[in-house]
Amino acid sequence: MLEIFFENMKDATFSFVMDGKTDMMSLNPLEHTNFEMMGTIFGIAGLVITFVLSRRGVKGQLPHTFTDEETEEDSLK
Amino acid sequence: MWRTIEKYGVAFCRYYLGGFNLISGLNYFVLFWPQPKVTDVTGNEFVIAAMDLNLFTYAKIFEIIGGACLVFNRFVPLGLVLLMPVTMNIFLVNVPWSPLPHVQLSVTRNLLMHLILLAAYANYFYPMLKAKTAPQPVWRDPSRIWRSF
Repeated sequence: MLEIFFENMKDATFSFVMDGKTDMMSLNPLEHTNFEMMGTIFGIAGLVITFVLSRRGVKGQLPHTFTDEETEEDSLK
Repeated sequence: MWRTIEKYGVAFCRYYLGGFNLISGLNYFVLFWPQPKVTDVTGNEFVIAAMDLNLFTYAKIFEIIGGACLVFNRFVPLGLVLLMPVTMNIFLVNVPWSPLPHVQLSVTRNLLMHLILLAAYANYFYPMLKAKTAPQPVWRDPSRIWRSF
């Protein structure tokens, strides 16, 4: 199995043509099939969503100082 | 720095794998693009046999459900379990038999992302590694199901 894998990798090319057609012999990571393109779009959109959500969460994590205030509750009167 | 790479790396893997599988599953029913054909003759026969037995339909349904779980970040460990047979099957059919390096790289990348996600959510799989177990039937306390949500 590994021999066939490495043999195919020897025949692989690395052409940088981005013409919308996927060369199946190419190992160019920028050449995508349709599903890979959708996966990449989802991945990048997901990164943006994760970043935006983490920025929103930052407000809730601002440092705050606790100041004690005296109350009447449980007082011995 | 490492924590940031970890967080965004895992997020990218989750959205990529989820999007890939969701669109692949939907494409079987809606046909945005032509169904990809396996180049190798034996592999193609396997796919045709799977389609004739309706196995492909169930696999695509699992792809849609698992992909949606990953994309919407709900029930992610369950989604990973549902997608594991799909990822493994595609890897085992294509890597030894496909003559196309792009396909081999693509399916290997998918498997790697899947393994990264399994490792990232490992906390939810540790109970499965318990060596000695006793049955704890669901019918004794069915409310545990919705309490887990």
